[in-house]
Amino acid sequence: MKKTQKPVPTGLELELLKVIWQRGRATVREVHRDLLAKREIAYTTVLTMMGVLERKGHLTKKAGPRAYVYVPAQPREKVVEGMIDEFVERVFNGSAKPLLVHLVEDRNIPLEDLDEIEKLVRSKRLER
Amino acid sequence: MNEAPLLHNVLSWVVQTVLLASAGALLPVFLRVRHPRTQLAYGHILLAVCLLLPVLEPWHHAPAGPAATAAGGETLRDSTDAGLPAPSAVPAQPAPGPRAAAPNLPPSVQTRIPRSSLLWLLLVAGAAGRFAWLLAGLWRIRRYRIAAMPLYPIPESVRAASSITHADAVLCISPDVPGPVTFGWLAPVVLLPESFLTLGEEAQCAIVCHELLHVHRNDWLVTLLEELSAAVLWFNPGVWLLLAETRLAREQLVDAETVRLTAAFDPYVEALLAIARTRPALDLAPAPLFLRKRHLTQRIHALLKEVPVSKLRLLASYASMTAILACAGWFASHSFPLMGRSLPPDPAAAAPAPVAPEPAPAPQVQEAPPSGRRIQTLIPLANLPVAPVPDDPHELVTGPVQAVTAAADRTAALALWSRARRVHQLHLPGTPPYQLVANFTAGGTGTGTVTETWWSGQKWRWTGTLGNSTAVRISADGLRYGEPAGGAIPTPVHVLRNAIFWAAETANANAQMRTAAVIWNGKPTTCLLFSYLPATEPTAGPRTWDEDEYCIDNASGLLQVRSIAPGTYVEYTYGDSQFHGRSLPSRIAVYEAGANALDAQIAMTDAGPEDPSVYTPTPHMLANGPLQAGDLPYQTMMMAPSAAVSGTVKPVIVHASVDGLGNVQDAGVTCASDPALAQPALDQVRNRHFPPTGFIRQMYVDVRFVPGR
Repeated sequence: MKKTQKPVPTGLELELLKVIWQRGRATVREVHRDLLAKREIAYTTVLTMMGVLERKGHLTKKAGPRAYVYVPAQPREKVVEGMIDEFVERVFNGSAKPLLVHLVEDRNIPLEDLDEIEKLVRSKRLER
Repeated sequence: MNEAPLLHNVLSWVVQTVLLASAGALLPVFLRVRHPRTQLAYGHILLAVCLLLPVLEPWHHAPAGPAATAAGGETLRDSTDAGLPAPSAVPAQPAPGPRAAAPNLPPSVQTRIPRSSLLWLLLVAGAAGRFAWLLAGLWRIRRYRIAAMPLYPIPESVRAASSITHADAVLCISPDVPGPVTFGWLAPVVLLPESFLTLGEEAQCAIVCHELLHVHRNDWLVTLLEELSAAVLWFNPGVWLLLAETRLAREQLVDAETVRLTAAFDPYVEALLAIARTRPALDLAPAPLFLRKRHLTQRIHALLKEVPVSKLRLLASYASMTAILACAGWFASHSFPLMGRSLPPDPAAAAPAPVAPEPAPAPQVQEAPPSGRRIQTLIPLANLPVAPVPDDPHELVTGPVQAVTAAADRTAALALWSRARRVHQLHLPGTPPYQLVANFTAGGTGTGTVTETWWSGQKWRWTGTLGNSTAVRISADGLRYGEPAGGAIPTPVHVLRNAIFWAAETANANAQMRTAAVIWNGKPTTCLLFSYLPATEPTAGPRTWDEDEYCIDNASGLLQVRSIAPGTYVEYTYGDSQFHGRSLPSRIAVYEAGANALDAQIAMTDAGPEDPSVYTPTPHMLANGPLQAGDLPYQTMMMAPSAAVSGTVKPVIVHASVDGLGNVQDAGVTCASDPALAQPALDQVRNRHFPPTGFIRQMYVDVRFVPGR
């Protein structure tokens, strides 16, 4: 199983990251404005979280004329992958099978998606 | 280094730093450089350069003479210049001992403080004042810290600031501070005013962010170093300006960073204004203050008008500033040079003269580099016998001589010598200001006068005339000036001044010593013979070529006859008059080669009120620059292989005046073991180039003719 080197973001951090992924790059003020459109959140809380995300390595900042502009340090897929890996490791002791079984049995997955998953499994098997 | 050159160097450094720091502080203003980050580095570099200038710049080293190097032995010379009373060698404070008490000194003399001492006092007092100010500031901060309450619970604004700056500190609310203050290095503390709690969350965050950035940058430590530098360079208005610009640049830099981090321009400006509205207070704290009132306008202006600076323009500006400062530094270091210790003479210059076609292989005597009073570096003369010193009508030591070996005898002999020597040490502290006039007749040269007016080791003037030539030397606050420059002093003037002021200075208490009891003018007299040759078995034979001689009256302890080398005798006659209890010679007669070379009548009176015009250098003297100290007369030895000599070393003493470049100006034979060798000896010395020293010297060259081709 692949191990992600950076700590996975918490819920609030992920919320901020989603805004930045969506924008591509953003200042603290912009992130706060976007979040504020969804729910009540203090500007200082956003500041704190941006600092935490930077320290965890999810964001890097570049000097702008009036404010630092934050950009994601990794693509969204990489972060999500890390989060799932961490989840599988923590909940299913590193085995992905229970997760897949759970998803196939319990979730109402459309047939098209199931076909696609089947193709993906088949090609993965051929590769081995 | 003695006091005068040190003072000269300190003053030179002061002028240099004022020029450099002033230029450095004004250049960014004139060139309109507005880039806090580079300005901060620039200010620190310039400050460091000012402090390290003495290490960075080249020092001016004058070539050394015998007196330029510290003399060993127990003697303390009152001057390093045989022709000059050298204030540099005079201790600033009276030496301990009987002379220091000087009960008969007039009060005006005892209470007079030299100007150089006042300058020292001023420099030290200024620095001490600044240090005291700094300590008071630290003490005040400590009091604030003790009285402050920790900020708890920690507001979200502080957490946010800590998070984005990646820095932490203990935050306290203080009822005393008018604005935020950060201090401490390993355990930093931020003191916040009570008004902080009334501010909005974003303004609070901006303020704490600003202070934590100072913590992150270790600005308190830098501020302390700046304050310490300011204390050392307190006299320098350029440094004040430079430090003010540096402080402003630091705050502007942190302002810009705070605004970038918080992306909260308006709340930050509001916070600045809110702090500015609080009651005014002194900028006493030696710590980065959130706001100095005089910076408010410039800081807000910089925030509002922040425009990116072209790198090319910045580079061009700093290149221009560096070039201008380099020129200013060059000008300052050349116009106000630091004077280093004298360099030892170039050994190449002391190479053997082309006397003989080939030097003799066995016996060798090399001329010594002058390094003390009279130094001889000898390579043994292969045990060849040395011809005896010929008889001279002025030689007192004609009878038996006793080697001084017992410690008690040596102590008694040295005590006698010290007593005689003290009478002639007129340039030491404690001597009442005097005016000395010596009218002399120089055999075959004419008549002349030596006049010296002396108030202290820092303030004096002497004039020597012989016929139409005149030499003047003065000391103005520890620096010596004169005309003509380059040490051009008539030989009789030089010889007479040596005889008056440095009569017993050429001896060294560490030398080998012999004594002879003689009768001089009907009085029991002891002649002390000092030898500087490597230790040999003491003999009871007559005076040798290398011995100098001091004959001292046993009862009065006054020097009667001095002979620095065979053939040269200085006879002292003492009258009844005394100068403040001190017996001084009223007549001095110098004999060379049996003939009277100089006869002087001496009178000494009180100097009267101090007259600065007497020791004020003329523009011409100033243009020549400060003069180097001269040296005492000394003996040196040189080898001369000669086919005319066999089985015996035959010495000839030549008295030579050697100029600052090492060229012999004047020479005459004073004593010869073989009259036939007098002219060859004279030729040898005249053709010789001595190590340059920058000042005139009286040398007694012991030319030793040894067997050779």
